[in-house]
Amino acid sequence: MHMGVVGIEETLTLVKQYMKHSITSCVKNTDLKNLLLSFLEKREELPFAQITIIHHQSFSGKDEEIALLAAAVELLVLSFDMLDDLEDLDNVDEPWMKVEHPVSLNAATTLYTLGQQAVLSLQSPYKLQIIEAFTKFSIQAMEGQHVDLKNLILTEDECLEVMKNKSGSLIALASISGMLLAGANSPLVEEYSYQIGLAAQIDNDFRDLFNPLKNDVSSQKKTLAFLYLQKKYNDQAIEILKGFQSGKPINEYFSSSLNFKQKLIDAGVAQYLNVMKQIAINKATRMIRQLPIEENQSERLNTHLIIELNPKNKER
Amino acid sequence: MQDIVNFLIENPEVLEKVVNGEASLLGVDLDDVLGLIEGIKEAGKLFSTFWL
Repeated sequence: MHMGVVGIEETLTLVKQYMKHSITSCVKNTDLKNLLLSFLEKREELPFAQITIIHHQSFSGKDEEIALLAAAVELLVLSFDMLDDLEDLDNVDEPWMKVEHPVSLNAATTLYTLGQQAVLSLQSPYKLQIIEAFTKFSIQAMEGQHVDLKNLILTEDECLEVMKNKSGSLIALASISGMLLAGANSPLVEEYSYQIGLAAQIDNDFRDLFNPLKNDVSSQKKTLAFLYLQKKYNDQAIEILKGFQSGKPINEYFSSSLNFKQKLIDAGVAQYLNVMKQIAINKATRMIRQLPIEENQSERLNTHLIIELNPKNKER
Repeated sequence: MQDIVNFLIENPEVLEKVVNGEASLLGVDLDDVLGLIEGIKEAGKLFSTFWL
């Protein structure tokens, strides 16, 4: 197989096969094996694998092992998603939240280890650098998660740092490992990955304000939105804070989702979050265009990371 | 950034002057100025998007 002539879709099919093979070849216990395979069922788009593949291609990589590496990235990210849900005790519709949590926890650590195992099986001369990237960005994501779980954030800067670590690190891991496999290494990739992570996390945190399956509102998690409201710039902000403290589902507190949306605009929260997101996107776009790659490749990368992965225009 | 956004929301005429090049935000770099303008004027977009 030659990546120059194989498109992303075909490679993603291979990635799924590698993910399944990693489980079936390494896990002997039938019950655990079937459980892990069932968790893969819902992973359809494999966005992190896409990021790894497109970075490899953008830096002129043609390594046959890109699908295996992308599978390793997705296994690792899946384990982080599971651990995040188990730690936050939310997203109760996910399959791993519907089985006993100790069993899911063990499954998550198994997937994490399988991701590491997949990287170790690479034949690439850049394997050591890739392993170092996996370790560095995994630990950074764990550090971000720790501060987030402890709810220790007090300022906007602290919140941005946690978002960078928690969300940006996994994007950096996906991007940089793909680039490293191509034999390239540009520090800009790490920097814009953090910005893309920030933009993605802002959207996800905003969406979670409306999601009764998430605990962000009831636990008064220190998100950018919460920190802005805490400044109490206006009466609407104070009213939203009261809604958070009421213990009621927020849409119910404000009678409807529409009323709550309007309240977020009146309080200035929607504008503030959109500003922070746009700043992150602008910075990422500028850095992507400075990459030492051909212009058509940087435009393709920008389109994929900023436009295609970004707004899916899903109605709330 | 919280205080700058709140100031511009409370003083939309200043934001318009920044948009028209009649005023500038001292100490704010270009990425941030563009983000402020687009972010405030098109905040509604946030309601219909999500990422990864």
